[in-house]
Amino acid sequence: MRPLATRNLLIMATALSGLLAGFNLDRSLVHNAAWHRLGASAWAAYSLNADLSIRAALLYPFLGIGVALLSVAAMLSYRREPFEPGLAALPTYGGALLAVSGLLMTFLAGPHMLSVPRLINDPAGLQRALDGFVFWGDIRGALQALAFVANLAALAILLARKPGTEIAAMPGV
Amino acid sequence: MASSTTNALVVGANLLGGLLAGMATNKVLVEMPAWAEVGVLSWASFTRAEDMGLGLILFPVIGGSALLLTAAAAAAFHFDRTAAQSGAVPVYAAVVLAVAALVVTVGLLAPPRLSLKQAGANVAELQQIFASVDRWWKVKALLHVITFGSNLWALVALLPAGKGP
Repeated sequence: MRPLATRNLLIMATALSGLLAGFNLDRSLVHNAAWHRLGASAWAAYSLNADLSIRAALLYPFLGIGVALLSVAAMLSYRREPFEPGLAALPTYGGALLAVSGLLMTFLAGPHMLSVPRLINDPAGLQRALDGFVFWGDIRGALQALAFVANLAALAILLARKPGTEIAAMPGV
Repeated sequence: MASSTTNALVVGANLLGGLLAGMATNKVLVEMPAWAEVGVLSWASFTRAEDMGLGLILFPVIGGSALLLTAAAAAAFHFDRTAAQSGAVPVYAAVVLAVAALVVTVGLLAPPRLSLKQAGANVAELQQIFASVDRWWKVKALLHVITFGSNLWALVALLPAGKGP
């Protein structure tokens, strides 16, 4: 891969993971508390037009899968670069691991959201769906927020490398 | 290479700016269109419930901190003789955009948002408030996203490898 590939991948991963972290922060710290006050039926009515809308169906997977793919690609690119600073290893590997773990949490949170249309006339079922979605959604949100922090840290470390250590500047490479 | 203070401030501005851009983007692309379909009475109830928790302080705290870090980064850059001048455009653009977002928030978005209490269950009034809040959220979100992009550009421009091999 080209010497700047890792950095370019991390720039894109940082940009997308920042947006995804903001989504999650708003949901976990603000929305969930409001839904517990308003009840599961209000949450269900909103979710049918929000999380279960075509907008969210396009946007959320784009961000979740995009961040995971870019973070893993950055990690693989980093592995192939013998001259990248070793200090970046922890956030680069951590960012990929956190992003993929966050994406996998969707398999646990998603079924609760997808059950909403079926449970729309079942208040107890909706409450279980809300509780399950909040529980797994909060874990997913924390992982994806940490992935943003890790990606930003990795990018800052790679960018801060002292000049003159670029692979392209080294003879025979 | 910029000083460690300038670099740290730009990294901090990116951290909070990214969160802010994400929160605003979700509001505009998913939340407000959903509320337009669910109805303004439900939106008003949800917004009032949000305000009883962290909703009323989270955005101002993150937004204010992001603005302060962005402005501090620009000030540090201005006095930093070691900083690459290629960072000037994104660093200063980020401040201008962040201040513009503050003006939109305080001057245009906050008044209708805060008038929700007085509107009660008056649907016609709530619809006007919703339309105004929706319009200004779109402007605010765009400014936050471009500010985040500028801060990310500044990070790449200020740190040495950003100049390219």
